[in-house]
Amino acid sequence: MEPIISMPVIAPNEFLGIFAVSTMVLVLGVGYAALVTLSKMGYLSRKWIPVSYIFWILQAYSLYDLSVRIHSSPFTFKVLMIAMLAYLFAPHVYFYLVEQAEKRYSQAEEHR
Amino acid sequence: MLTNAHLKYESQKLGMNYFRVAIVLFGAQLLLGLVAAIQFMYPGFLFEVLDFSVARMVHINALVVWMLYAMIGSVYYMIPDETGEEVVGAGLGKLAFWVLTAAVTVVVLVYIFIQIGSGTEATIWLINEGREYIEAPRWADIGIVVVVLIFYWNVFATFMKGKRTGIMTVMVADLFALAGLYLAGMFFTDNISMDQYWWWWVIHLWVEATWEVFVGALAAYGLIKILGAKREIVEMWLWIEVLMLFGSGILGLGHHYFWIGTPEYWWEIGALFSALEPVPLVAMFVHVLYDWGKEQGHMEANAAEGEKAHAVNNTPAMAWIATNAFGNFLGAGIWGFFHTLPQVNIYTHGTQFTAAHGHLAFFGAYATILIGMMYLGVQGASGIKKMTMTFKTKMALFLIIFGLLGMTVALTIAGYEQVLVERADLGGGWDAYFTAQNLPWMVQAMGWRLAMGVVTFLGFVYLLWDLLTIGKAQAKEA
Repeated sequence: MEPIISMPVIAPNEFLGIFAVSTMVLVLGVGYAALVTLSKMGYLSRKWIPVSYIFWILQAYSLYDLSVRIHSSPFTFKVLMIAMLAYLFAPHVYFYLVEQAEKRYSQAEEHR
Repeated sequence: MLTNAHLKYESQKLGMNYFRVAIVLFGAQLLLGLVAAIQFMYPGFLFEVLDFSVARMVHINALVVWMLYAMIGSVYYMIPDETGEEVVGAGLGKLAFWVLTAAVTVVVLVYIFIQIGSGTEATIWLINEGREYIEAPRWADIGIVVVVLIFYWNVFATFMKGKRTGIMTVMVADLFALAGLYLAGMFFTDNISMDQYWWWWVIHLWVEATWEVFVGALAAYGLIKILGAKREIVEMWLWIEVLMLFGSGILGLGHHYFWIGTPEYWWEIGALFSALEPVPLVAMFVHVLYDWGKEQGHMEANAAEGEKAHAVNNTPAMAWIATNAFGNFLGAGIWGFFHTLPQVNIYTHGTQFTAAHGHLAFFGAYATILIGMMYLGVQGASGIKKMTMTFKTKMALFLIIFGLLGMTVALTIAGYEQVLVERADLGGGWDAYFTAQNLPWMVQAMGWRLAMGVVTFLGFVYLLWDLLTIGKAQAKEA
């Protein structure tokens, strides 16, 4: 009988790297979001925003590395990279919306 | 936790009843988990008295049911605060509560006392439906649907009668989906792939979409109640979270379709949307910390010189909600992302990795916030303006978190060993499974899992003790 599933074979010594890199993707992602948040809240100076981009670059690299390690298809690889680009803008869109909502809220308060 | 003295709404009193049963079922879940963990090490333990298959089944079913109880309790508790109205059918709600509690008791007793025998159409109706996680027999299934319809009617009708806040709008829509999904687990099909496909909808569209949205709505309510956070901002966050959670969670379910015989396109769909699933969890994490920091900053700015300012009016509840933000990201996010891509999942599927993810995700994403809601209930029921942590609260937090993390690490090590030996090295067959089960890494990991389970149970004892005493003690002090 023909095999139905043909998945890439991963050598046993590759798994630790895969799990470590996938953790890095998320930890660096939180680092990026946390630095942007703390800067926006005033706990850190605005100078930290460029540092957050280093976290994002490392995160994007980790995801790239992960997709190579798991032998992902070209389609999955492209999609993951597009997701990373979207993630670059996500915190900024968030805080733009928060600032706009704050403005509208304080204007509504003043009118009352 | 045993008093309703300061609650003026029947809805909130009913909510407290649900919390009380929830905490009892939580205890039962942990006890049966301990029994199953001992049986992993010593298979003869309680053999033919309380078999592993039964202990594991009750452990998991009790988890699902105590969470549903605490969720229903949370909604009944928040309805008057959000809508400004008493629940429309309080009497009917109480009747449904007692019917559900009686039905759950009977189902658990049947699980425990009627464990083996041949399966017939009658056993599906009366004993066990045989579907993992939702084994309740069909009579109980139908009863659950009736009870949930009553609950939903109460929520919907009260919502239509009172204020329609953003939080309640999300809650009403989410509960409709949550309740409706249960129906997907109530019928059988001849094709096993199709059957699994629908069955997965129940638990996994719950935990990856509707329950997460539910948690988002509870966190929003909690932040307003505990911190006095601005409703407009909190609700804006909530809508974004809903968008992201449903946007990623519904198709992210695809990672359960990789190996059950569904078409291959689920690999790409599941991979993409599963990879996006941690993003809303990061957002929820940021949201809680952002609001906390901001409200604390406002309090400090407005405080007189030398005065200590605390934005939080219920530190135990806030501690559990903050644990939720972190635990949700860690358990559902990191431990989920570990093995969500199909290329890795083929090696990890059904190993102890899944159990590690399940333990930390259910605890981090759901148990924590529901415990937080119980503390909010105790605060309201005891009429305490500012509730603060006691030694018991801290012990409960520390022991439960430490125990859960310990169990997760132990199960991850066991899963890692299975991936390497059973799957990658030996090819995942029958013999490979047993070879991996008997290696020292697996045996030691299971030992540590048991030890950490005991630590978690001790934490639960402190939690129960605290919930029973904190209200009375702090009401006296006030």
